[in-house]
Amino acid sequence: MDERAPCDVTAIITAHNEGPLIGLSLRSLLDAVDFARQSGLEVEIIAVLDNPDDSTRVAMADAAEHGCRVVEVAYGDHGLARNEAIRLSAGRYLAFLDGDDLWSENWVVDAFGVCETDPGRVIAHPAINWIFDNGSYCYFLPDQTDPAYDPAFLRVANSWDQLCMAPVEVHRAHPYHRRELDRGFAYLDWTWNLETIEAGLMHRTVPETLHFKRRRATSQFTQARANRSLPFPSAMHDYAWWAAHEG
Amino acid sequence: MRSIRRRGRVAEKVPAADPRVALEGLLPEIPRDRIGEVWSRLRACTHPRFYAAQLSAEELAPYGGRLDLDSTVAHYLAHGARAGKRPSVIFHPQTYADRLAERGLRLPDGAVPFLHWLSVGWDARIVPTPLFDEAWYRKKHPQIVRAWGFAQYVDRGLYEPQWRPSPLGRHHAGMSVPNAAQEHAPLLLPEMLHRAADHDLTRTSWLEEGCLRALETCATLRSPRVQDLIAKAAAIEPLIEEGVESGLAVTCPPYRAPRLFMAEQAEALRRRVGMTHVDTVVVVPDLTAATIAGVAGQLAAALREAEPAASVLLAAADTAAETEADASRGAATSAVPGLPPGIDVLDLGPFAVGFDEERRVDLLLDLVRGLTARRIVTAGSRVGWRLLAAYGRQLSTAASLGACLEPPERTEQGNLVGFAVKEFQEAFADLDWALVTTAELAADLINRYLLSGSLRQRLVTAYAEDGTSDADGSARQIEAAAVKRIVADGERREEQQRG
Repeated sequence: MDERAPCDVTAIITAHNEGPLIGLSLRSLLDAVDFARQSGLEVEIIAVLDNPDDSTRVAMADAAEHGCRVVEVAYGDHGLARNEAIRLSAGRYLAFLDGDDLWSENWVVDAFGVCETDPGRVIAHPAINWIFDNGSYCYFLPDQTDPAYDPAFLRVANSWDQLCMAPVEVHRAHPYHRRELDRGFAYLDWTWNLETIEAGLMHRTVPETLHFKRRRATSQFTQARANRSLPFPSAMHDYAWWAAHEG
Repeated sequence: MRSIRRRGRVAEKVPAADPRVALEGLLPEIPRDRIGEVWSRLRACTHPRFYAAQLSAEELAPYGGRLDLDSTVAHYLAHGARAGKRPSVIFHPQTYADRLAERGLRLPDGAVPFLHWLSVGWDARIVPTPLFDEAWYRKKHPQIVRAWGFAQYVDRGLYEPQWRPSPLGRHHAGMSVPNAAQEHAPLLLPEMLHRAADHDLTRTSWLEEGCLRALETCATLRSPRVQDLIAKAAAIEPLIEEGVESGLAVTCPPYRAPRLFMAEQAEALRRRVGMTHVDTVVVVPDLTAATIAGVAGQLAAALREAEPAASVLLAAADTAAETEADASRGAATSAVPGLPPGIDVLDLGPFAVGFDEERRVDLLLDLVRGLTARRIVTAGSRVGWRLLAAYGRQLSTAASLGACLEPPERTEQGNLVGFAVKEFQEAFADLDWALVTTAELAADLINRYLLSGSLRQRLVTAYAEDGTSDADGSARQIEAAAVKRIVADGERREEQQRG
């Protein structure tokens, strides 16, 4: 880990080939960070560009002027790029944003508040994912404390994406997998959710917060789906785990 | 809100009196010349299987346990209306009361809510269910010419998969069901009847409760704070609000989500199975005597004999069931004639009511992963073949995969049926072995696919002579060498995993 001054939150934007769209995402991130700083939070900003194309690199050329530390890596893998961001972070909590998505202005400060209700054990998600471009829909994320929510749902479908805020120690204890599309294993977020629930962490939603997620034909989700991928094997797929955790 | 379903005690069959007369008696305030119209609406909105789910076995006994449209309408008018039963999936009493109140109306004392809606609420175009959204329906289906989209939904939308009634979803898997309209069996029936024992179906259901909770959740989108946040984001990226005017679909687990019902059934299956591990899962189409006597049953018996300490489960994946009420037959049990002791059987059909094939495959996937099977075999099951074709790569990292291949047969219509050719092509690379029942089929595969030496070795001959039974019809035993080979492949696979 870098020797950097500790802070409350590291806001991380990851990108690859988003081109000028990353400017919109950075604009939204900066607004949410300003809002959080006005509330007294100390926030650092890191951008991790993984094998960026020229247009993305050019789009981020002046990011440092906005207080954003830009790091280039060459993994060609979202999970490993995120792990690098985690390694570089000085925040107690980390919040990820994909390079073509947007946060609602209140995301950082309100998510921090929810995480602090049980420090080290809560992973915060927005209440609403607003999917736009190439078709619109709303996904209301479930809160694990809702009595109606059954984690068994995770055996057959994912509940939360990766644009969450989580304690840095959770990220360090549960780094992301490298995608293995040839073996049919992908869905890094789904896998991470399974692992963190197995570890006893709690996925909560933050009222009245939104993530605006652009739907792209070439998204990781679309690729994984077309490839009939599955999340990596998990104890939660095993009936024995459920038998041991029943009651 | 949940309560235990109450069942009546009335057991006599409905009198032969004209049900229209009974309808007139229940609607004294309606002019006689309108009774015919209400009668037509009543019949259009009546769903026998939903109504029958509210009756006791004693009440259904005079009808042979099954109601048709005529007997449902007659029973409802004679008994059900006054007893508060619901004959229709599209009438939710509380929603109707709420929507009447929104218009400053209320039910007259003593009125039967459903009949009131048919005679009064229908004319006022009140939608009495949380399952349907008129504005959404019209936006998504602009081809509808009827003035009231809900009337079209009642007549067609309930029975044809292309009509999505609400931003909350279709309320079913999207699969066509033969004769659904003729039998007045709405496609959403499996979800209406899900966990029926936990709900008072005369008032509500799992599906309606989920929709109501989802609608409450969706209401947060209209809060001034959220609207302000959306506007601020849209000021940065205008595309955020593009397309919103045509209606936003909503996914809202744990209340409404495309795979929610499937997840519920997967968990119900896990609980019903009651086992946490099985060594070998043989996926078969059904549990008929022919299947048990065929190569699948013979293989199960041979493996059981070769590995006495290892468990074997025959899982029927292609069967159909009408309701979850049949789930008792899905339980794992050893009591199947023709199978030696120690082999369990399981029927997935009752857990796959209303499922399309993709969901059936995923249900089976959850089962074989859940049981951490170290050997997975498909034997004539279409869903089993789909499982190996779709997920063979991943499953082969933890289990030895095999398949039973029997010669394809030509039907009277000239269609070739038998093992699934496409799925075989997709899955063969991940199979450790394929048990071939005839030398002719093995030769055909070797010849047509020009199988290399190593691929040829995957073909295991099941019998010394062709066919799964002797001339006298008795079942043959699979060759000891074949079983030995299959067992060895399993051991080799486990060795690799340990390594």
